[in-house]
Amino acid sequence: MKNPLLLMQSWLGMQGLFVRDSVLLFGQVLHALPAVIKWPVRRTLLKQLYFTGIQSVGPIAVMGFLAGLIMVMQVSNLVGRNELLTLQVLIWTVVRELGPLLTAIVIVGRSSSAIASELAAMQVNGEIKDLKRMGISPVAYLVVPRMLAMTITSSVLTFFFQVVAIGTGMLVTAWNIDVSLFGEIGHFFEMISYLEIFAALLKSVCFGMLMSLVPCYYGLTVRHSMNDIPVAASRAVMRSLMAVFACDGLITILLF
Amino acid sequence: MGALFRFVEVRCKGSDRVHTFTLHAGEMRLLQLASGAEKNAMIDSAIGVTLCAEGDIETVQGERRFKKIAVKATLGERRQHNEPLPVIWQPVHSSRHVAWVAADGGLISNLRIWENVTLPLWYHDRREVMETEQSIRHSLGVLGLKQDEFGEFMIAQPDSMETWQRKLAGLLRALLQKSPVLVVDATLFDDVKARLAGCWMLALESYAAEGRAVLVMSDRAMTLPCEKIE
Repeated sequence: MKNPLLLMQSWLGMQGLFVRDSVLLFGQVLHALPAVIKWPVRRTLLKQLYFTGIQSVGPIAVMGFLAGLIMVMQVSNLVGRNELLTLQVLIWTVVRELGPLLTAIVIVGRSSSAIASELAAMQVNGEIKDLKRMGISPVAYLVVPRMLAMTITSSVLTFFFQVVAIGTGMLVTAWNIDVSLFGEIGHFFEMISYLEIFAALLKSVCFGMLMSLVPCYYGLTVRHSMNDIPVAASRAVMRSLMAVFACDGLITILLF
Repeated sequence: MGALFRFVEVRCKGSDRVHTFTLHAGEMRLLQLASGAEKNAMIDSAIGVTLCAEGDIETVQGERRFKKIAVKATLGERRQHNEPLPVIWQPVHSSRHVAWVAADGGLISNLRIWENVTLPLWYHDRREVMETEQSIRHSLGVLGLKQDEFGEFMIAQPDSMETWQRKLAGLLRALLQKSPVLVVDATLFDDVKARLAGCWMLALESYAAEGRAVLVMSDRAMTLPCEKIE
């Protein structure tokens, strides 16, 4: 049996390589960003916006509705007929944490695995090499539009989730404890701070980048075996989720 | 005729043979290599995707100056290419001066044929849609496709096509780029009907006759109607 310390050292080394290569890939993406003006890259961006954004609206709406409903029911059980406290808890949870996080989980489940398997299949079929032979940078053509689309989509869908969840919460509160809905909306805008809006936006942007960077990395680093495709997809999902939670923790510690 | 493509004592990794020749405008020549691996390595070096182990490959740019697209690898670069690094870190320095025709078409499976065909053209250059459409219609006719099959062919997915159709799409994509030098994998002509192969050879000949050069690379003896590089 191998020395556990050596195993630990090897594992830490692998994590270090993953972080280093991901940072390098991010640098390449920034460098290749001007390629977005090229027509084929724009077309890929639009396709990704459709698959990641438009097609996720339904699941996000359902999750936002249920999250708002559950949240308000639980908070009402805890604090009783206290409209202001219920609203405050909604802001703390939905705007600061649940909005960006639940949206990210939905996007990771739908799109990150798809991105990783699509790119891994292209790698296995030799299509990435074909792109290079045509003088087309795989980073510019494949990674840049996916990262842009995921970042835009993550921000927009997070906002959509928050509107649905908070709207549902307000409606249920108004109906449950018989207060004016417009009064609640007024209180909401009095209570919410710019810092909370900034934090939600920052989180959604960072999550979007991470959720696209990690699967692109795993998809493109696959070797030439079909067996590697599902492995890449599963690793991409797990690593994306870990990266999102780590980033969430970091931003929360820094801002609040 | 001016020189367009120059190989100076080029040796690819895993091969002992050294190649020195110059390709002039209007020429279509066949380079026979020892193995499939050497052929692939030579194609990659000729296009500029990877470095050759030794020697220089030079192309003539617009102003008739030679420019190296693949140079003798330095120790650091050799180490980089020999190590099993993730593919994404390998540099892409393909030259638009050299286009390439793959043996199997080299199509991207999640794009339709028209997207595949216009991908390098519109990635590297801004071309009018009408102009591109006219070029495609003209080239498809030259390559032996019937006019009533054009529409169906262009909107098809690569997976639903036969081998010769994928090869045809790959050839069409390369011809549309109108690069000064075209590198063709000779396996393209395998398993293709003689009439079609004849059309494609004629298309390549007329491509070269327009002041360009075509370099056909094979890994075995072939009877193609072009001069062999000794």
